[in-house]
Amino acid sequence: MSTFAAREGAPRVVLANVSRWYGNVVAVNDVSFSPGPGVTGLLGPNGAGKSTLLHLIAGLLRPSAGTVTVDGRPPYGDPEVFRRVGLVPEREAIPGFLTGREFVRLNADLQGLPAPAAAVDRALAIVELAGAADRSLATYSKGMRQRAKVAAALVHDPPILVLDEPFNGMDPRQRLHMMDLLGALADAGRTILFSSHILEEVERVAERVLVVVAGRLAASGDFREIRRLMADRPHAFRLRTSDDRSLAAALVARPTVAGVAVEDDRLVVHAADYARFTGDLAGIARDAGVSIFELIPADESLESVFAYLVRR
Amino acid sequence: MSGVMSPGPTAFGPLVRLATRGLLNRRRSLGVVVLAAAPPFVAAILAFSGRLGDERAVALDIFTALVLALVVPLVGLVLGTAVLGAAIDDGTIVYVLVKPVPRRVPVLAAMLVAAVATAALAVPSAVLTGFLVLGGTAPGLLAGMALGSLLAAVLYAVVFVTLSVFTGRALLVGLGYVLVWEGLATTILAGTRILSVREYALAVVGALGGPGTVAAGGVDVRAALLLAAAALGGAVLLGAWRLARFEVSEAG
Repeated sequence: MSTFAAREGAPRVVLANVSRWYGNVVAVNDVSFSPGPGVTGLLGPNGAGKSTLLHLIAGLLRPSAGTVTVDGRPPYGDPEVFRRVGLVPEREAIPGFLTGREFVRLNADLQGLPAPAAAVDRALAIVELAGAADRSLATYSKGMRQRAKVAAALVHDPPILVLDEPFNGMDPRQRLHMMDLLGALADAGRTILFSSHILEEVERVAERVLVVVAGRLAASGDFREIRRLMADRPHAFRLRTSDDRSLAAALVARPTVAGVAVEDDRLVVHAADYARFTGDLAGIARDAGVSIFELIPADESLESVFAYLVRR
Repeated sequence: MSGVMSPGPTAFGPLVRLATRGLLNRRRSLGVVVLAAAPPFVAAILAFSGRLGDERAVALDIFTALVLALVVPLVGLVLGTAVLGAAIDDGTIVYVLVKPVPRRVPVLAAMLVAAVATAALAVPSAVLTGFLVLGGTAPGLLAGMALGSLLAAVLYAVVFVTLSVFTGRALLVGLGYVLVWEGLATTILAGTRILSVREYALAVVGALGGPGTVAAGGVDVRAALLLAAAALGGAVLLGAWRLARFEVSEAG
């Protein structure tokens, strides 16, 4: 991926106190951030406002309050901004009556590129679609369509790339390829912002993470920091043991345990410190002479993680 | 790689090609070809079945009842609402919107393609219908039918492109305009005729076809041409204005 030349003058995307509402529904609520060069992941559950944020940056939506600027210019209503921005929308729909090459060429022509044919070949090669370029888009698999969309967004070599759920519909190999591609584009100095509702995707690719929940920025920064916040939150475990009462009595005195209850013939333990509790549990059970048959984390869903971050 | 060329004029050609291919690819487009073939088909049956009686009256009847009342508005409606509306519906308009191209350019390209496609079906349909009945006996009337249907084709197509930028239900609203407003209101309330594409076209037919071609009480041809020009200009401006303020409202 050494084909990307390093760029001078870092692109600047700045959101300052941005809100966007549709009628009475608040989609984005007082969000401020400025993703620098490199990969920034926008993580959040479906409907959190990720697409709205990306559309605000891409100039497809007007902020209801606050300001969005791309290199100092508000993108909404300013088509010139699109020379600097490439957008990969979430919606899968692409003009199925065009071939891959025609689709990317259309994007090159609309960008007014001086050498569109060469730019199209280059973009198709980057996403590894050169072999299928002359087939109609209607015959493409989901992953191929996604790559065609990325080629279309890359054809004018924009310093800012905005991708809405780019890994949707990709198989593991395509996913890895896309992750490498984003990394290589970022290494060349681009500002890349992508959204995902899958924790592992964001962890693999992004240097910085913005967690969006219910239209608000719930957490931002280095991924390890967010990982720690997520790990440090209280965890609930459901246990099936040979003697719930004895184990409960042994656990309740421990500082790593916040609470103990018996629900539906199961022992439910609320751990205050995830790491120490899981490390100590086996020893505590052994000392109490209790066998553990089953240990299930009760609230490991991504939603509960997000919910915790919101309450925090 | 990011060039500094102005994409304004260069974007128009690709957008026209895109709109044309989009139209040709739709199954509905085939339906309008069949629709446009209906009046000449009816005229052919009448012409070959023997005596027509008053040829001018028959030709005018088929022209007003079939070509002008149904074929031209419906072809204009189907093509006009599809050319840009389909891309707005399925979201592929995004690829056009995120380009350094003023929003009026895709609107103008869509209008040009819709108008040319509608006229390419409507005018031959009108002329063939007239010729099958009239032969070479009334060149003025034939010219009136050709120009009247051309005017109506362009106007319907452009107005319906604009409508499709405003509402996702353009086909329904347009059908309401054609059937309820032009089909019913203008026959009951004479005053509403000044807002009817069909009446503008009839005024042109009357002016070229000679005295007594169309019933009295219609719009004067000069007024019709002025009103048509105003409607055309208004539709172009409104369509461009609306797309410039168009937002992709995809919550998530």
